[in-house]
Amino acid sequence: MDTTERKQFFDMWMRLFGWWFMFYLVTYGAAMWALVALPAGPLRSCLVLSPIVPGLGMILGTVQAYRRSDEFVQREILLAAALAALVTAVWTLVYAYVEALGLPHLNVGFVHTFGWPVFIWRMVRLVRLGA
Amino acid sequence: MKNNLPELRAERGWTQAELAAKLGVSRQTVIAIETERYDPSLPLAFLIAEIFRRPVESIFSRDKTSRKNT
Repeated sequence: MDTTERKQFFDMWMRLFGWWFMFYLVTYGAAMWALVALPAGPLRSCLVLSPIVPGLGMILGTVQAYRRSDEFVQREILLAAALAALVTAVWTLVYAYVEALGLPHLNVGFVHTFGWPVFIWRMVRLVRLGA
Repeated sequence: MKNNLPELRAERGWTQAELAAKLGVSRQTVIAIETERYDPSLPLAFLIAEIFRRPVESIFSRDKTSRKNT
């Protein structure tokens, strides 16, 4: 992948997914901070709910990337989504039992922190195929 | 499935990016087909055959050692 091709891909990825992902990380941090540091009120509620918007944006970006891709890339996106779902399912199943042994009860939002890295790893692997 | 896409492409002096542009696919797809990581769909296989002006069976052949095709 030459420099121009890499830049084009990076721009496309940032437009469809990357900005939403960065926005998500910021709102996720703000939500976690609000949960522990702010008293109940409208500001706390807004901050805690704020990751929903970029979270939906990431999913929308993935769908748009899928629709614009050719057959091989579409297959790789589906495989990445399936693998991410599988990892999330296994993590959920295992933690349900581990929690019964005494580990703390976690919010269900934690499970997807395992799924997205798997998805992103598969996408990086796809890009590196052309490197 | 086996294919002789790298040889055909080299004969014409095309880069992977040039072939990808002719086919309207990404370079990743051309690489995946050439390295036999991915078997193209029938429409894409016929388009490849059309671009190289050869019958599809002279480009792609069944890999009898692969369990996928048994």
